Amino acid sequence: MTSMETLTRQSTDERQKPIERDAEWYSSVLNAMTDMVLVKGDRSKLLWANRAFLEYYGMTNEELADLVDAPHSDPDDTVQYVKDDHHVFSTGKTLNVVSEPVTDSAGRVGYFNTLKSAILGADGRVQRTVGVSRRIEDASVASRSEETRSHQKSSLQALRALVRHVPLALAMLDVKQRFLSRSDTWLSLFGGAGEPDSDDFYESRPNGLPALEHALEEVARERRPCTLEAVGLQGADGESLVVDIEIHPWLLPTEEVGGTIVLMHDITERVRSERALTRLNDELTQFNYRVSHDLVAPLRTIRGYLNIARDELSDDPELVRGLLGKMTERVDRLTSLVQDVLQLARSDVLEEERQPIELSDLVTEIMEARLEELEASGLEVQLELGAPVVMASRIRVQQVLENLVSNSIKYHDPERVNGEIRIFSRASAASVVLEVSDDGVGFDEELAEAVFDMFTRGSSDHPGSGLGLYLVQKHVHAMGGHVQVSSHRSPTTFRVELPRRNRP
Amino acid sequence: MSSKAVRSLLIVDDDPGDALIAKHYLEKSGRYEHVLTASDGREALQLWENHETSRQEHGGAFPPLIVLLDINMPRMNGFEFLEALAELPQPEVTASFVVMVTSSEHGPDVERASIFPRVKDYLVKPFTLQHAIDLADRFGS
Repeated sequence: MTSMETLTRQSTDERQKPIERDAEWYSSVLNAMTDMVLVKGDRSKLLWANRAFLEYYGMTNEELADLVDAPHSDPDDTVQYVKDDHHVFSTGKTLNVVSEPVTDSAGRVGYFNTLKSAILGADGRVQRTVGVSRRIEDASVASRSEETRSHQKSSLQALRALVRHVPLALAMLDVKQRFLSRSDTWLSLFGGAGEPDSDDFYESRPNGLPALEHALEEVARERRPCTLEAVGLQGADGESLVVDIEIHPWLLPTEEVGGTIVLMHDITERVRSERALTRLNDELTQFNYRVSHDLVAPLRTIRGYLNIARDELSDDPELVRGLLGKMTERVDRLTSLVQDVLQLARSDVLEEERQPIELSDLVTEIMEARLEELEASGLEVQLELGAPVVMASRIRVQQVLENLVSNSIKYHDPERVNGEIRIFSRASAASVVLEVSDDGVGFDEELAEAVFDMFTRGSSDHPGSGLGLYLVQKHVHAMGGHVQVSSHRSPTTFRVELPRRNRP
Repeated sequence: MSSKAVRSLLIVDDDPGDALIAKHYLEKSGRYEHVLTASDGREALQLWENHETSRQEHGGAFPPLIVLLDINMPRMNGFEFLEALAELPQPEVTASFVVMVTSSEHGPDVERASIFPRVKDYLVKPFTLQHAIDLADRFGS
């Protein structure tokens, strides 16, 4: 009889007396066993246990689902289980753990001989592992195991204590990128639990940063350290950090890679101050260049006029008179540039106590100083002072208003009759808002942010140093407030918001 | 004593005062037949872009033999003008020598100017009678 015929006959027999081999059928087999059977997925997630295991653990399959281990287990034992699981998962080979400690629901530790094997999928790859554990009855073997375990436990604790107290942001991870231990500095930077007292400890991974995960994998695979420079991360309080990351492999006594050691060097402050310094330096370079150009160019022109005037004094006095007018104009412009530059220099070192400022007095003072220009422009001034008094540095507020008002005059629309400047103030619990608004020529919307930059001028048809609004912004920032363009044309409105209390 | 003459020179400067000074001395030197002016790079470039019209309007004054080119100008500065000029068809522009004009001897401008082959020299403002004479001696015929 061929084997094919045997099969055919067997299946015929079964049809007559069918046995339903469904999940329940298999469970009943596994549940009848006195050995503990435990199935785990990737990353040591518990998937299913037989009755012997559930009774020992005092848990149901539902309670075990998706845990790495029961909460009552000794965390260091769990670390060892995880390592063993990983070995089976990555090699596909069966592992014979001659004696392993397992804690029952009452906290008693028993010693078991466990065989861990891989369960393969249709593609031949490991999908799950199954462990079969049988209690070691030989008392002398169990007591030797207990000795070894307590020895390992104390060395692990010593290692963990060492890592915790290293005064660096240091973490020790297993090959599955789970934390084994972290230093206090690490915890204060990135948060997380210091002791392996919850399931979460094994599950927490470093920030879920793809570049870091990739580097950890590579270091463990290549057994070579690596460094990631200036990596942006999120800290424990959600603030942005910049770190240099050093990753080293660590080896087990068997020379296998046990995982990685990660060292984070927090360079946030350094990067921040470097950036600030670079920005400041750029600004200073530009400032120097522009100021020297803007100071020197008109002087050279004046020198040219003087040359002509000297040559032509007797031949063409009419030409010389015209040149004198031009020179006067240049000198006036230079004077105003020098004044702006001086104001700018003073604004950095100005330290003035906050004091109550009567806005209407201040505005009147500013307008009186500009009476001639104001009358020439035909502008009317409207005051709507909802907050008549402001607590601030008088010099700063004065220069802010002076610059804004003089822009309103300078850029008034000559075609418009009854043009106006509107000065408005309003107070809320936290801040005071000052607005200077006009119906002049305004500026293009693209300039709305650039107007506060150094040397940005609203129009080349109007004289100016391009420093006025830069100075306004500097003063407002120095007072802890902010300034913005709330409307660029028709009306053109600058809005200054100052805090009512001193900020630290 | 040589008295070389220049048929035509173009001043490109946004500062009317500086243009006035240069024009004054160029004319005073008596060595320049025509002095043209443009108030920035773009206005100057348009002369070349519409070279036929320019020739009709300015007669023998276009193209100029020498361009006195200011560097810092709004709309189109001296360098942008030189770059745009290099993009134009050659025959209309080969005749011109460019002399950059700057307010500072030591600015980064002078170094940058040296990469343009058409730029033959630079001078520092204010423009003087001596500048006018030297330029005619060097480039005139």
